[in-house]
Amino acid sequence: MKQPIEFHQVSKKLGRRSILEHINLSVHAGEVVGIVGTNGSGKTTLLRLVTGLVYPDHGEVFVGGNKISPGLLGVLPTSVGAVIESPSFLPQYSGLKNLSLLADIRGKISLDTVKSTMKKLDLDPSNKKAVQTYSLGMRQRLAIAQAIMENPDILLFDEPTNGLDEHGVHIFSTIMQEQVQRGSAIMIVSHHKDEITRYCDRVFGLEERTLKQKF
Amino acid sequence: MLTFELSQLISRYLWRWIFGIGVLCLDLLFYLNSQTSAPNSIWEFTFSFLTSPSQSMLILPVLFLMITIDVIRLDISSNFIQFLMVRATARTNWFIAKLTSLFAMSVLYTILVVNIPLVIGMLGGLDTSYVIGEYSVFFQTTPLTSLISTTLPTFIITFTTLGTMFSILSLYTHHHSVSLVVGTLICLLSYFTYVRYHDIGIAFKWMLTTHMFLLPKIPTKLFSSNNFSAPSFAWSYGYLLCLYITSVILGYMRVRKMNL
Repeated sequence: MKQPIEFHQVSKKLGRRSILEHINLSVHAGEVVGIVGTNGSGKTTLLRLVTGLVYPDHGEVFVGGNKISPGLLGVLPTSVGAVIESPSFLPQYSGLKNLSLLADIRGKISLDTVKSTMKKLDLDPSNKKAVQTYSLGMRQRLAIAQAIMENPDILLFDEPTNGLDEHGVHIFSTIMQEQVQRGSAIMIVSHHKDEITRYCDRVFGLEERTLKQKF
Repeated sequence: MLTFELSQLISRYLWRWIFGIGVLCLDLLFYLNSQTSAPNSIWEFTFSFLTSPSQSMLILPVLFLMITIDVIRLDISSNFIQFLMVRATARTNWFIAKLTSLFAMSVLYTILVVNIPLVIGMLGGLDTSYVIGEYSVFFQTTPLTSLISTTLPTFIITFTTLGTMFSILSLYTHHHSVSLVVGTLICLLSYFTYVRYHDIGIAFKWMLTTHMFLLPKIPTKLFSSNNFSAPSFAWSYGYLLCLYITSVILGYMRVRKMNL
């Protein structure tokens, strides 16, 4: 049976530099897999491979049973929510406007759902201030709201608690539990050991371009 | 994805549109001051402005490039692309939305460059009826519909081609400023070709913005078929279409596989 996320012998170079070599990994539904590693080790590239932002040079990536490859149209996975690196919104719009514009692309959820998701992250949907005035923590919460609002089967988080205060971390923990219970397959990338040990069922270290299971 | 792109046509680039309109107004005022005799109507003012070599081959195209140069690149450089790609089923959906956006911007820009001179002319007290003075480059019998029906499609097609070519170039150069410089140089080259070599038809045919210079293509007092061989509208449209299609193919090849 196909897992939500599967890497088969995946290698990737960025420019001339080899970032990943012979990566094999699968993430099951309802599981949280953590990836740790030093800066520049390729952790974020793993997430970008799942989203289709980059394609593998060798090997195959399957998301939701579908192979992610350029093909004729530049195939992208469906049902993925992601927060990768420093997320950037449309700065001139409010948080609600940003999320509602994104939600309208697929038209899967209503404005009420967008608002309730924002409230879950302790964000005020009626706040008319432009996102460019948001603090780092608020932007991170908005990014998490963006990732979960359409109830995707797969969630990808890159340093998810970056900029969050204690209350924000608590909210994120609650959300993680809910998503696991929903059966989402989740990958978290971090260089904070605490973050990883708190949330993850399995943890891999990215060392010398390959994955090694830590626990 | 298309609705998403079109809904932000103005708001996402608002300051650039405002800048563009501001520069256009200043440009018009300078142009009006430089005229030896006052135009007889808002129509004569508008079309003499739009058919001026420096305006049509250089200033208006470069201004359009400044507004649109990173329409494709902006999502990538701002890292907003991650939110779009997880909601698109294929990268080409996003690319087609961008191409449509560029076309819509060229239509909007053409509407602006035609209407702003009309408004400024009205505010300046010029006659609003269609009157062509005896010293104008246009014949007094030239119908207004002829001027409009040649100007609008030529400008839209050229701006669309220009905007698309150099937006796609920025996917290869990794920074939109390089594309802007290259685009500006191409416009300069077109204008220089007219200034220096306008009697050499072949040089005129293969430049980019020379096709927006309408005076040699329509009956005027300045040019006749005896002393100037300008490409026909059909040739110009065909050439620009070839450039556009080539750019789109190169853009598609890049977008399909590039690291976003």
